[in-house]
Amino acid sequence: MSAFEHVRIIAAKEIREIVTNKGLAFSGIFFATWFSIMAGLGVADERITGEAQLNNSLFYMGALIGLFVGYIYSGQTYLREKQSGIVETLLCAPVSLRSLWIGKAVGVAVPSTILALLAAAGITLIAGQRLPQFIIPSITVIVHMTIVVPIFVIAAVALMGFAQLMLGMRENMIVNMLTIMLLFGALAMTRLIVEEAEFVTWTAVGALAGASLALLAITWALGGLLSRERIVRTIS
Amino acid sequence: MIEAVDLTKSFGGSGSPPVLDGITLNIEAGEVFGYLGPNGAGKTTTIRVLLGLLRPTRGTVRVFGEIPAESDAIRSRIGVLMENSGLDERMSAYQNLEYHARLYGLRDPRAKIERLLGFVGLDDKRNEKVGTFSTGMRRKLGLARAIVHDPELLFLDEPSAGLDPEAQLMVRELLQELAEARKITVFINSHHLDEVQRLCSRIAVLHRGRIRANDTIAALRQGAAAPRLEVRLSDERDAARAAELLSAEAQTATIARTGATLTLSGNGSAAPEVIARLVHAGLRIEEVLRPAKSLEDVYFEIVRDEAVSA
Ligand SMILES: Nc1ncnc2c1ncn2[C@@H]1O[C@H](COP(=O)(O)OP(=O)(O)OP(=O)(O)O)[C@@H](O)[C@H]1O
Ligand SMILES: [Mg+2]
Repeated sequence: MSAFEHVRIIAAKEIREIVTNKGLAFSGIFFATWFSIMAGLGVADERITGEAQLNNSLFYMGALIGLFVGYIYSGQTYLREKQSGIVETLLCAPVSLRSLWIGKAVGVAVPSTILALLAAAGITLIAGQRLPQFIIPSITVIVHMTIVVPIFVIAAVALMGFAQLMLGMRENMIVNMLTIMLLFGALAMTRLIVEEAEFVTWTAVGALAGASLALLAITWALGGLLSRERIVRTIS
Repeated sequence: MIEAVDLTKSFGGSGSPPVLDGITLNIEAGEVFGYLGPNGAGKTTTIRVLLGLLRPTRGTVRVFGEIPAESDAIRSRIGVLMENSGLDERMSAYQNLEYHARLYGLRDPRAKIERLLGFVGLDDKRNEKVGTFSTGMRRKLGLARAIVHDPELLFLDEPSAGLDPEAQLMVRELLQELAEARKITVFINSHHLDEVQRLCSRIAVLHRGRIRANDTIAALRQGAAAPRLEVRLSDERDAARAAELLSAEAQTATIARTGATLTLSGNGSAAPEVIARLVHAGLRIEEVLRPAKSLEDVYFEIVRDEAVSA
């Protein structure tokens, strides 16, 4: 069987688990809704500033919501299987480590990205209610949400998954705490940046796209460090 | 089928004592091999090395002629049931089997899964989440999971640990059927002597990272260590006299008397000489027995000896 087949089977299983698990599906939807309401209400009700702020909000919040939900789901996917010891049995299957790792990353990134897109739609709708007229996000933001954010989310999720597979439980707890602090820090910063009311430029979108691709490349290369021995020896 | 030569594994620095120390094993196709040893002996570590999950620090391991840590291909010929049954609690029994079947490349596993669920007696639980299952049910489902791709070689790490007697019996019967009807080669880790005795054709006893015995159960029970000889005389008086006589003449045998029966062990317990002496002295012998050692005797001899000499 091809590596692609394996990735598809693993991703499909993770997606199904996330979608059919009430707690998991709910926590993702909860955060996406919460952030979109906050961001939507943060947009000024005046035409010019409002439009700039909406686009800014979508630019930053879109990526951050994807990242945040991806963070929650990756813990439930990689770390949970490691803690429960299931991963050891999976490592005995005729599946390459990279397929296992990437399959899970895809399985987490797909629902995370969908929630980010839904949140973006939510932000646009809420802001539209407040503004004098409904505003469609700029083409830069649409490209950003549909192309850059998915790349960014899958790179970030794969990196988090990599860390969870490689590290012992104590290190993972520390990394988790740092990630959470970083995420909330980034969210706080976003509010300040959004206030600035500059329009989202192609340069900004291009820069984030470049950074996401670089992250993806780095993460892919890091994947070469994964080994069955390393994973088994850091279980519990 | 499995070949380990001088397999040594240590965790941590070079200073730390090895967990496995010079293990040499050879397991042929069709064998049901029991790997015995007390807690912490290194049984699970051995299985992990044989599965390619850990790399040996020294020595070589080959399974199906390949180095396990380097061959993804042999994994499809191997089934595994580790101490943790390897099931996802959030998925149903059916979904768990289906996931594994697909990972092993089965195209349309539905009929196969239904048959396996029947085989382990879980057909009525097919759609229930594994999170609601008891330990016994999980182990049975884990076994079904381990053989969903018809492996030629099956590794089991303490398949009956934590099971009640009824579930143990059921798991044992399933394993017996697998080994006999399907001719699967089985490697079982266990400290459940009774189970091993019933299932395995050959065993090895591992203690503190070394193999202390490796033979068929029958051969081990006949054992190199001189077994005891039981002599029952016609009455207690004769027995007392016999004991006196033998302890005066036979220097090295240890003699114990219970009622009319003497138990001799050690060098002076060769049956023909003992019988000749007693008959010569005019004592009446009712019965002479050389009881076979139980596997338990063998096991404790090994594990205790080593504990003393270590
Ligand atoms: N990842 C690891 N890092 C360090 N030491 C380990 C590791 N895994 C196992 N050990 C040590 O190796 C020894 C053998 O462990 P192992 O799990 O193989 O024993 P076992 O025979 O399976 O025992 P049990 O019957 O309790 O399952 C133990 O002393 C254990 O502490
Ligand atoms: Mg063990």
